Amino acid sequence: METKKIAILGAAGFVGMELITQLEREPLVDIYAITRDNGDFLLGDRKVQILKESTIDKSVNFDVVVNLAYPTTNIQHSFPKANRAILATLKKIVQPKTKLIHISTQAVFGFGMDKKIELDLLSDRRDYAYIEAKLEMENLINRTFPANDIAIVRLGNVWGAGSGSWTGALIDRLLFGQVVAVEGVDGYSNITDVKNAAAYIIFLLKSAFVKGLKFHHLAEFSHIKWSRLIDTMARQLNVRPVLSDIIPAYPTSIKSDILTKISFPKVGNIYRKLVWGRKTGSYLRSLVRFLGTNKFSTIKKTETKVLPKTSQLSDADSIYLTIVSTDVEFKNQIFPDFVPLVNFEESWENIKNWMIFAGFTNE
Amino acid sequence: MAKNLGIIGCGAVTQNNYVKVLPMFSDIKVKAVFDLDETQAILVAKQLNSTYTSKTDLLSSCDIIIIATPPSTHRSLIEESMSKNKIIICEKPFVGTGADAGYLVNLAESSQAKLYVAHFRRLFPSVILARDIIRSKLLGEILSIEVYEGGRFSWQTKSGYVYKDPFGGVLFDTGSHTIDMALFMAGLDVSPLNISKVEIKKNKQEPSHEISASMLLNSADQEFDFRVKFSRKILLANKIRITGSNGYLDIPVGLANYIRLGTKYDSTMIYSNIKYGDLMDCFALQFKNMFYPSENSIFDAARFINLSNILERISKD
Repeated sequence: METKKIAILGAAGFVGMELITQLEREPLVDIYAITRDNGDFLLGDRKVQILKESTIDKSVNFDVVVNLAYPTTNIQHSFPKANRAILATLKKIVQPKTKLIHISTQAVFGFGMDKKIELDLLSDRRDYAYIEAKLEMENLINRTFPANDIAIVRLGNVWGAGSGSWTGALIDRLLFGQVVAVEGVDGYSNITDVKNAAAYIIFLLKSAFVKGLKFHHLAEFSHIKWSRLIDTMARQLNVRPVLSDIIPAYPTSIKSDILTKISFPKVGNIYRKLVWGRKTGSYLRSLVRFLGTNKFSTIKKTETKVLPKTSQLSDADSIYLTIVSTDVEFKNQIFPDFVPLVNFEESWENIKNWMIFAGFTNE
Repeated sequence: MAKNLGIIGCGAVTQNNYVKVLPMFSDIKVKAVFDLDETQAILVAKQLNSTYTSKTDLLSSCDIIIIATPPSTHRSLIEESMSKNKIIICEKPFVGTGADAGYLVNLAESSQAKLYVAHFRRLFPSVILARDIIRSKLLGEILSIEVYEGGRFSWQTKSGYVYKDPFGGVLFDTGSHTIDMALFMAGLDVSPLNISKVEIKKNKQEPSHEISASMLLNSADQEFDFRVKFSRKILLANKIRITGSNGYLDIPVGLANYIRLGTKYDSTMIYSNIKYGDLMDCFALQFKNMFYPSENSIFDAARFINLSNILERISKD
């Protein structure tokens, strides 16, 4: 067998680092990492050749390109520009016979998983910036490399030892008393362990399965409910989870999006403000008596209510709670021959050991 | 009358932070900027409506000098800046050794200058809250302090000193912030500390990117374990735990207005009334303590000698 040349774009990220760890154990692979400046020291002691975007040698024919890169800017309107920069790099390294494995996310079906889950291309649509960017990239890749064999792998919520988003962030929420779930709502976790995600990418690049355009949905622990993860972690940390009594608003239309962002003046609000005025209050009370107090009972009842409930959640909390509240399971749809590297018990054991190593807990 | 301010060093921290906050002070005029890299200096001068000058002209024309260069240059630049009534603000980390820190503090005093170190995390609401609780003796006697900060490094420096300079590793870069928070909260930044029984693990000589250390610290009236772990590669807990004879505090290392107070039985969250909308508000606030000097400022350079000694001890191994 010939040695395969594998290029990884976004190699210094969380999944990329695990992918390299596993690839280093594989015979007959040459690993090329395409990274930004910080990649030099993050990958400096690994068995990889580091390439800078500006100095990519077109003469290297890569057998497989794995794209893990995605826009990480906080500036929402710059996502399309960042996507095109990634695409420009891919154009430099994807030759006609190169197999392309593009890593995407379950979020293309919406944070609340409200779109129909299917193993197919999805149309670009208006959504949160992160989702639009991920959708756009799937479609850009399909349009830009129509003749290449492409595997688009949509990952579930990636967790694992050292994961910043679905492990570290959850632990942090637990540790510092932030809301971790909605009271009485227990969503599907839809998680995949980073070790299994990396192993599946290697499974694909070693096999002859990447033919034409195929989609893969990887979330081997999707059936596990968030309550199990949260309770297990909380016990480990010796803290009590804080639950939200507010169900996050998940806008599905322009109207609902506006209503969750802007509080329009309502008759009730105006009444409650004016009734305390020296003159306005006097006139208003007379008017109420004249019209009949029973007509205003609703307003009076709501007088002591706090602000509309959704306004108490930050945008980040709303999105987080939407994700952990979903009753839709993002089921595994992958090649059946693939055997995950770790089962759930092993996955949790790894996380537990990391929690001790990282200083979250002492035992 | 406006005070004239000069900036030496126009790299990432100046462009990301100082450029945003200095215009908030109406009576401070950024008169001059200087950097060995002329392009960076011209860029910053334009952003601050200032002038790119020579270092000599900057030092002679400004009342306040901000030094925001790589740490290995701090000692000599502070020495050059020192003169009567001058306010010198050194970006963290201060200097590489306790001896240098002590020398510069004495020099400032003898020169009748004010020397400050910009460790703005001292103003985090969570840090002030924890400090007040520890001062109240609610925790009892301090038994141990654990400091964790780590994550994949993404700060894009202009000079690249974090990869090359012996004071550019995770210890001096991130660790100086976190250790300083711990010492400040525990009230250990004023009286001298003795360091003993030091054990250190690091991935390479400085600048190292992963480091853990433990030691015994003694002050005049207490002795306790001090443990640190820092990484630029792996996510760590990003918290400080201060354990006393009655219980413990967990304090997040990032900007927050909450901490966790616990005992062996249970724990609860405590919140501060202070809240900042943006990290830069907090960054800006530190300069109120420096541009308009007061006695016993929490940013006085003398309060960073213990920190410098600990950093030196860990880095030398």
